[in-house]
Amino acid sequence: MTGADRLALSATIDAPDVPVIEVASPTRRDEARSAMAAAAGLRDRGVPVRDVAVAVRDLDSYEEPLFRAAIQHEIAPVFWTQLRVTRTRPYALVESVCEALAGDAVDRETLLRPLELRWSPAAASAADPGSAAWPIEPAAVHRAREALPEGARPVSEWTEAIDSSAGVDDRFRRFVGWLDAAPEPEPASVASVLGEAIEGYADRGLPETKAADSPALLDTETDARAVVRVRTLVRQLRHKFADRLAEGTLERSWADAADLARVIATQRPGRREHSNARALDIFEANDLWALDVPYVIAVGLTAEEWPRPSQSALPPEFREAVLRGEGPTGALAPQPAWVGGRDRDQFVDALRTAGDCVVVTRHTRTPSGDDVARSPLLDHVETRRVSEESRRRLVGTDPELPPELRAIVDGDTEGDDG
Amino acid sequence: MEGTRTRDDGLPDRLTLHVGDEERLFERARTRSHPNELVVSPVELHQRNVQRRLREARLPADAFRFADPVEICLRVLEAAGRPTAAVDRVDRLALIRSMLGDEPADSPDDPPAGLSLPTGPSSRDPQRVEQIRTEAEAITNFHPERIAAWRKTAGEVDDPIDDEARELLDAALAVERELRDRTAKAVSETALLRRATRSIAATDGAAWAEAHPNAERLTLLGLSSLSAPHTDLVNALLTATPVEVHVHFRAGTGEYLRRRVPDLLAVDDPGTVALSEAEALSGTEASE
Repeated sequence: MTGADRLALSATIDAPDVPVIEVASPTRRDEARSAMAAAAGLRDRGVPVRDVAVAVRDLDSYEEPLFRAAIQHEIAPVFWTQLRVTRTRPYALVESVCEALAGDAVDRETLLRPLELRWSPAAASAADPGSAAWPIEPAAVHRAREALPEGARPVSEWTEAIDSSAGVDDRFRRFVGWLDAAPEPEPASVASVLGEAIEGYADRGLPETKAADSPALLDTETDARAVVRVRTLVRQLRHKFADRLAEGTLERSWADAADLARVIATQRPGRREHSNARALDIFEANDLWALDVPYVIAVGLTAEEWPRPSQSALPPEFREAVLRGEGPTGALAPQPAWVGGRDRDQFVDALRTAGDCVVVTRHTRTPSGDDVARSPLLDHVETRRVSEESRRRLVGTDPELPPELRAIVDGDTEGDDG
Repeated sequence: MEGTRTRDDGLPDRLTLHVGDEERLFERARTRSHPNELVVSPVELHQRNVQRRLREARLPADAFRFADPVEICLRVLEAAGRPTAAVDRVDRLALIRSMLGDEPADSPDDPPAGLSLPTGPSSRDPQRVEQIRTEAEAITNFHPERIAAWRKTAGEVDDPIDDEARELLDAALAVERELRDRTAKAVSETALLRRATRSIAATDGAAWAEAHPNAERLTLLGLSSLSAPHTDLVNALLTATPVEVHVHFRAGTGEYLRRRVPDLLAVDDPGTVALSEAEALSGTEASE
């Protein structure tokens, strides 16, 4: 190894021979619209949705605008991303049950929160008559909140309050009875109480999501994935709660159980695992590797987002010495991600994935009007730039694919056109 | 960009490095019908992508067994009768938090005895401490020769960066040592990788042969770096077993990485750990 080999990490990328079409839009939101309009335009010209994949370096900042733009174009997007389980209803349900059980007294909002999140008795135990209508419909929960008295009280006293409030039906009584019967928070009881809550949701809450969902069932998919993740989480919670109690680092309380659940949920992200033939796959760029798809739309080719070198705790001078690897330093394993190496890999692989064409998109200014520079990675390829006029037509009311892209799609079927 | 180099300068016979070139894998799917190749990728979705490609090309996947590096090591440890339990990241952060004490994250108080942490505003943040440990582990695998190389490299950068680089290494070693004292399990999945690496070498390949009796070839896929723990595992396989190893780097970094491989492989006794000066000098292997 010589220091000169280090330059291989910034050498010209020998890009595959595939046409690259560049679309620059004013803002991130415009960029998302352009990307989804291109996908919709391809679809309208007869390209199957399955033959298009979208690659984004980091979905955090793009998921929301891409989602909105996709819906506008009647595209169902599937985001292959970490499921943020803490933002899902099944997780919120488990957390709300812990909160209702925490402390000596509970107010009506905290008491009713699990019901808003569709708490239901598990199907097997719900054979008793009069309890057919689970989960309780939102309007009835709302009426109960109006009818019940203010002020915190122990769970056992809420039964009485329910009995003396008009219009609060038996289902509320049953729910409060379930809370009241919950054992002290031991590892096994935490797992069984929260396990019951999640199974009740799987039996009765999930079908509600499905009934209200769009034909591509995207919410249902998210909800179902969350149920699976929360089941696993409850199992982990049992063991980790036991460990923490043995160490003396946690109290035997429902509040501490909820805190630990949050720690587990936020530190062990899971991945979406279902692909859907009717939906447009949107990947983080690293996950595209080794696929073979005719059209790739690579989003976010700005100097700030792609490349974005990895964070390191080591001083830059030391990292540079390790990358050069001269003499005995050569035994140390270098991490090309320190200088954007992983971003190079992901960029080349987005190009390599595409069989027919790559559309790269970027935006040119921040919401506050500052300039956003073009990604230096684009200097490695020759791009065909779409004019601003063509871009406007692409996202306009009567959308039209830019001529550069139209030529490729039409060339695919037969001959070429202009 | 694409390309394969066999018998590179100083590379062992049974190691082949590729840049890209995954098509070769798909070609092999045609010609074999029993699983004699382990296809190993650290990113779970990459295994799924390869399987999807095979499906789309209507190729059988019978020739391959897909796994991640930790899975193949767990089987080696089971075959060798070694323990396989490891602390996960959640528990590791909790252990680090408890070893740092309950003071606020930027407290200037003295750290616990034996645990010297670099100064700085977030030096008592468990996530940062864990990042220092994992970076040092990826670069050195806590191998005595690489630890010596780190110290030497630190000596060659300018003052005061030299001290900082040394302190960070000492902090990483101290945290790793302290974690071991606090749990009966392996400190991390990477520690299991090292344990398997040593088992392969110590049994002269017998543990590997028992765990993966039909594996004639191991293909490592989709790498944007070659960490020291992965290098040492490959090193032990090449030294103690007859398995052929193919590494596929990715197109943007592959040229660089493949030139680094000969130096990375040039350490003796892969998987050996030295967390203190005494261990390094006496050459004793810390139990792990």
